[in-house]
Amino acid sequence: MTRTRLRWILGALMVVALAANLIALGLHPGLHPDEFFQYLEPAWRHWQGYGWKAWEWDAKLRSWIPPGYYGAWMVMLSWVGVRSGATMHLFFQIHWAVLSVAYVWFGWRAGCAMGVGQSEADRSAAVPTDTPFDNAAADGWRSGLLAAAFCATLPWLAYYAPHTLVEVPASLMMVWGFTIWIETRNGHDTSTKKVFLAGSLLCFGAMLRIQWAPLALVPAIDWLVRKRFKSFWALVLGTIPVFALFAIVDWLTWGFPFESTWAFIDYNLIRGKATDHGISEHSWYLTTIVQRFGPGIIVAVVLLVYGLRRVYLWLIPALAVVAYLSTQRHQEERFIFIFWPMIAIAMGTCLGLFVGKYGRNRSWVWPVAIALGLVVIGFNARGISGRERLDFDDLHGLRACQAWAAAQHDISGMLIESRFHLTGGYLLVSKNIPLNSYNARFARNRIFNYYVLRSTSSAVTEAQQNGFKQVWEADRFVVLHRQP
Amino acid sequence: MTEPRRGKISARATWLVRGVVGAFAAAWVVALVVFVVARPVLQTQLPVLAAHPQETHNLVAYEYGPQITASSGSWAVLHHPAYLVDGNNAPTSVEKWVSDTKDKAPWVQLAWDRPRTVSAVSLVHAGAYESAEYTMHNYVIRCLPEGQPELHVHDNRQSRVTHALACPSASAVRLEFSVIGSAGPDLVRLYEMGVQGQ
Repeated sequence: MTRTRLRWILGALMVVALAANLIALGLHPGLHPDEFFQYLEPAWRHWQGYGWKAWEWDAKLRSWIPPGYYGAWMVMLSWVGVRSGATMHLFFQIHWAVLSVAYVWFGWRAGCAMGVGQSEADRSAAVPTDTPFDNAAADGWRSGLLAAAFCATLPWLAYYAPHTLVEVPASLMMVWGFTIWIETRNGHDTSTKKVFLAGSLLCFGAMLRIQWAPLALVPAIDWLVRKRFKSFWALVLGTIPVFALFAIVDWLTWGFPFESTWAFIDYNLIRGKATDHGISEHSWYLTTIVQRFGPGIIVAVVLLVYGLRRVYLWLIPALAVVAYLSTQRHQEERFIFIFWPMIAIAMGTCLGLFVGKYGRNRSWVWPVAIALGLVVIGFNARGISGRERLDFDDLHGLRACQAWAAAQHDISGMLIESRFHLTGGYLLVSKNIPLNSYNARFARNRIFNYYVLRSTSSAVTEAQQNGFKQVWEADRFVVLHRQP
Repeated sequence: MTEPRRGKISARATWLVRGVVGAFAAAWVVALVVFVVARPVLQTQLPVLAAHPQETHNLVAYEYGPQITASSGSWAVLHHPAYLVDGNNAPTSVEKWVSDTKDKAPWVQLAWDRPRTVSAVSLVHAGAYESAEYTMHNYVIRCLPEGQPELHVHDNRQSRVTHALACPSASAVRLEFSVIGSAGPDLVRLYEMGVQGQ
């Protein structure tokens, strides 16, 4: 395999990944309420002066860093004439879909690093130097390429890519950090700059998604155990600027360094208040992972067992996050999202090891490897489409109706058959008008001249009797307008 | 000869890419600063759904498309300032304007399409529907632009009150409350505000 060809294949895989992420966006992945009101709505409220305020922002439970990030983009978008929150949200979805293509690159690099050196000759040829293609000289390219391929095509990664959830950047940063760790660990490259960067990335990811903080300890412990003190201290030093950033921002916004971090830990771990938002069985994450894999889990497990000797360190964070978060009663699938890119890279690496061992003189090995990959991907796609419906899965129609009604020039207030902040809030509406959930008492207020209701709701008939007329519809929701 | 030229082009392309990325990053940082220092005014412009009649009427009724500007709002429970002009005489406890707890000098301003004659300002304080303690005692009503009559209200105890205020050519009315050091509530809860005029 020449380097030029590898570059072309990797480029093609990135295009495939981008296409998959955008297709996922087009297929309307579930609208997670948190992707609106946790960071986008606060950014909008700070910038525009109006917007719904979630309780977390009264309890100082969130850092202003993510809203600051989105806020800067909002300002930039306004400079080029974008004023609609709906368009801004679409921009952010595409933005994360594009950035999530980076998993292909991480997969390539981590796969190469873990797959390289099946023989002593390979090992000596595999010393990383300046470019990430150096490992291509050895067997590592097969693992790198297949890990990248899994990252490009695994449907569950594509599902999450176009979401404005904090898990998306946190996972990107941590997987990048783990990639640097595994590269510098397996090769002879002891670049402290790289390890410093890994420390910053892991720390940033952990600060964004505090539940993942223990994962950042894995490389640190590894370097300590192996007495690679230089790397250990470089990693520790890398965390300092990130800690400082979060501390300063909290100090300026909440009045005390790490205020939001302490508040988060206190609320969720010390007082155990997370259970107020729902509880699940301890086995829920495991059950969900099995459902997402479907029968493809057999292939995945066989592959991971086959290459365990090479990927066990890489698997530690992936398995640890599932294990320790299973001890918590409040569980959401996005909390373990980082499991998926890590496992995709591990599977690809193992498949590459298989091809490397048996594929040198056998033409059937590559087709078999691709078929195995397709089995995992196919069943994962089925595992997503066949999953149980969640309360926010069917809200695209509601969101579309909200956006349509908000765009009407005569709107003075809107009632919605749900909590409006779950589907875009004031950001989506982009108008400072009264909004609230539909109920009979609010319906008496004439300032609410638009309703968005489920088409089968009895409230539709009531509204029509009270002088409203249906003026638009989308996916099981209708827009009603008060007639003059 | 080809290789050095290609190298030169490649180096230029690299610098071009770096320049574009650097400029973009600088623009993003400027945008971040703009975002951080933003202190937007809480303002609502309602659509014009009906024309003002000739006779004396409520100039700020929601259907005439008033502009409502407030010093702050209570967003957690959605006490939107536009409820001040909804004309609702059977409101829920949500349908009122409530200033922010941190707002030590709350005010609200209602503006209409063009200068008009104002004869009175009517208010429905929270005492009309909730505890009498929530009625605001001390406030100032000003006609805008500046230089027109203003009214200083002291120790008001009426939950529904109409204040006579003659302004010959006003385009807005501003209501300023005292919450510091007053015996009244420490935040404003106001259900309705009307401006009589023509």
